[in-house]
Amino acid sequence: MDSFSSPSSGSSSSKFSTEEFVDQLKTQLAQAYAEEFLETVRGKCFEKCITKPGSSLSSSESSCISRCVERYIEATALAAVEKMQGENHGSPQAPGSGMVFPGLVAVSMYPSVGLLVESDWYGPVGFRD
Amino acid sequence: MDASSLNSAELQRLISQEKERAMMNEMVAKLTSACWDKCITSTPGSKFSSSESTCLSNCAQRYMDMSILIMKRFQSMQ
Repeated sequence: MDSFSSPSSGSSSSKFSTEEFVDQLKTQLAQAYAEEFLETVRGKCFEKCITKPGSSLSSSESSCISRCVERYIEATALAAVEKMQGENHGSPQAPGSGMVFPGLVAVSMYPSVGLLVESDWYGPVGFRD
Repeated sequence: MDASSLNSAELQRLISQEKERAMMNEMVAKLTSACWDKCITSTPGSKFSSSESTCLSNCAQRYMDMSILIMKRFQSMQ
């Protein structure tokens, strides 16, 4: 690719634009945040729900894990809301402007917990397993 | 757009914006983790009890209060 060697006024599909870079960066970041969140949830729910590992997951363990995941997301929303309120009392800032996935997703999943959040989040992110 | 715009102030702005977002995410994650450990002592239910949700909210606020106190303490040492 010689897109770096020839300055030109127009943009063509062969040029690597800042916009594309920014979009890719944001996507990568969102995926990294999502994976980190998943890892945390795994740790917490294993701790709470799998007390004596058996030869398979029992149905009570499975349902515990489901509830645990929901509760942890809810707990994230609660923490995010408190953090945003703390930010607002400290310095004037639009709610949610600093928010990232997954805090943002958590808040949007629990509207009773959250405030109305305005954001420019990164768009759909797939969970890789 | 050409490659030289990657060195622009716009990129600087983007980086500091993302840094702030990362710090925000880190803080929320830390709050959630610490407060989950403190407040959710039994097996997770299908919803939080009122004492659990109160504990979580209080915990987050106290953690942030503590954060400010620690900052002040460090600043007073310099």
